[in-house]
Amino acid sequence: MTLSNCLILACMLFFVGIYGVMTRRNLIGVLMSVELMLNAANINFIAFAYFKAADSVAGSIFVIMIISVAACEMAVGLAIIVTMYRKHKEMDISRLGGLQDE
Amino acid sequence: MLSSITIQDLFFFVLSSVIIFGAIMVVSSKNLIHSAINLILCLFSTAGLFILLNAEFVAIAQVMVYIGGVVVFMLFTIFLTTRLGEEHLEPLFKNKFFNGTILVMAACWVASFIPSVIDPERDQTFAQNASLTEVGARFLDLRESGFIVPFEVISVLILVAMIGAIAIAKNDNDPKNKDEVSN
Amino acid sequence: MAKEELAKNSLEALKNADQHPVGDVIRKYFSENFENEFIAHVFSSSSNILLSILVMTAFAGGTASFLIWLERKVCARMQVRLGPTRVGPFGLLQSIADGIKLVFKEMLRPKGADPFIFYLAPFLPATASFLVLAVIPFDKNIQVVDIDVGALYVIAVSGFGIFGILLGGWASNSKYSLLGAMRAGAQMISYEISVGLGLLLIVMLSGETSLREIVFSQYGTVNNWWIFKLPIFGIIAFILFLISSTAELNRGPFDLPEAESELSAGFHTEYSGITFSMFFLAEFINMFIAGAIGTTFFLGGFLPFTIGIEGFDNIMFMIPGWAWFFAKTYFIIFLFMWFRWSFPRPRIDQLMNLEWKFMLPANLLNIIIAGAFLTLGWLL
Repeated sequence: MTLSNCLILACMLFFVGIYGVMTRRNLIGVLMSVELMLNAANINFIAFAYFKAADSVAGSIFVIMIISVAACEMAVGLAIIVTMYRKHKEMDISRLGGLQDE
Repeated sequence: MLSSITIQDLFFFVLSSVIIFGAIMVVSSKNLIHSAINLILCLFSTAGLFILLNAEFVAIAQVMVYIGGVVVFMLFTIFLTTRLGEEHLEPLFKNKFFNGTILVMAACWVASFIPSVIDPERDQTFAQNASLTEVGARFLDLRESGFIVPFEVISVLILVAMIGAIAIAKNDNDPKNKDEVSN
Repeated sequence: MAKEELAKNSLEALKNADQHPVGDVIRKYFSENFENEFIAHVFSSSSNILLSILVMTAFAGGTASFLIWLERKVCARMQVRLGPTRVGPFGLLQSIADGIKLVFKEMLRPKGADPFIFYLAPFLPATASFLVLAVIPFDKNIQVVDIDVGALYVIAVSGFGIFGILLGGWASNSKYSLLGAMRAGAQMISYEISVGLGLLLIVMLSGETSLREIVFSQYGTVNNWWIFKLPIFGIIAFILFLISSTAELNRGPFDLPEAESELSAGFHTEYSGITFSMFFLAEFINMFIAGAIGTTFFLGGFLPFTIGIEGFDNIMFMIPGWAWFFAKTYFIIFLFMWFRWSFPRPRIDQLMNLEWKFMLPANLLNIIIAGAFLTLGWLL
């Protein structure tokens, strides 16, 4: 296990997340893929903190901040999704184009 | 050559395989509930990876916030917005390009283990365990190296997000919901 | 003589007691018999892990069947009945007979149910309960593993059990199950906050997050247990903890998720045979865990009941720690059973109001005031 292993893992996780954001048509699916990308960032922070041991605590602190921001984002995002579903009865982002030119 | 593999390497190999497998299942399964289960798998093994990388507190926070909070809310939202027995949506393109990409990525990933097996000299300076006490003290440290301002900003952000989520989801404008409230 | 006895029971002596009596024997055996250090390490750790899993599984099964018997007996006594009497002495083997019946029953899967999730879901709550059992200090040297962040670990892992209920309810493809699961999920996730805040008060005051250290922070007379050490806050926190853990366990009077009169059986309506018994097992182990956590945090864990008089204390120290632990735990479990058979069931909106409008503010106030007093130096 070296730093590059962790970085490659995080990179792959990030790209899988990007793929999900691009291809998922359900809004909740998109949010899940965003979770994956944030998770990849967390792995990077912890890996750098572990292998480049200049300041090990700072890595943990950054990750905790990312986790709390992600939780906030999810709370607001899911609230918006529920409201949108109530209004349009629709979860497919390709059909949620109310503002777009007809 | 093989003797340079430690238990840590084995655990890393297993955990990272599970992480990648879970992530691919999250973006590729048709059923959203299956995606959520695989997301749990992925996040849980990431927590395991954090323990392997000496960040115990972050691992616990990950399990507590992501798995105990975020994914549960996701499941609730899925229950609220998809009907029972409804056919779930398919991804936009379900083609061979995707499978090919997975294969290439898997190959790159397996290849990435080669240097760690061959390379006889590795970095020996690993970070010590960032304990709960240290993280807490650092968060509330008023000196230059402390993180008190970000901590306060995050607290305010969480409060704002909580109030915002309630305000968005409350749905006062719908006349149907007005007379349902009892007690 | 008396001085030696006291020295034996001092805090240092208890803390330094042989921490891993079984694990060390196994490690020593393997390191003596294998040349290769790596292989010895792998063998010794894997046999230690297997041994602890086996012991904990056996313990969980035994505890759950005993608790089911106890629940039926307590219920019967409160309703002036006899309860199970036929199988074994006092009907003690009744739950084993029930278990055998459940294992051999047919597993039914409703039409249209998702097979993978339907069969996965019952095992998640049981897994979560087993995981929590690993950090509970049964005695000064009986604990599978003592991790630094034990208190947080308990809160984090017990939240994992919600998934089994939510997924099981969804996968059953039945409206009763889904409604029961939604209720259970909402209830558990709300009351988890109160449980967590109650434990946080003790973590804040003791400055420890390892469960073993939290028990040792209550060393001394009975006045040093956290429930009595803080003048009023301890008792308030303990009562709030009891109420919120009753609700988190989905037990009566807060058994909304499986309210028989409304939802047939809630989230496990469609489960039968071994899958149903896994849910049932998890429910009873969770009750034991709630009692054990209450004991560890508020009632001094495995420390004996001492009042500061030397002779009395020495007699109390002769009773082993695990006996104290189980006595206190079963006292809390008896309280849970007493609640269940005494109070009527509230409505779902009343339940949510109780949490969000009363329990949560009360817990927060408790923590804030206790923290302020601590800073001013009026406490401890």
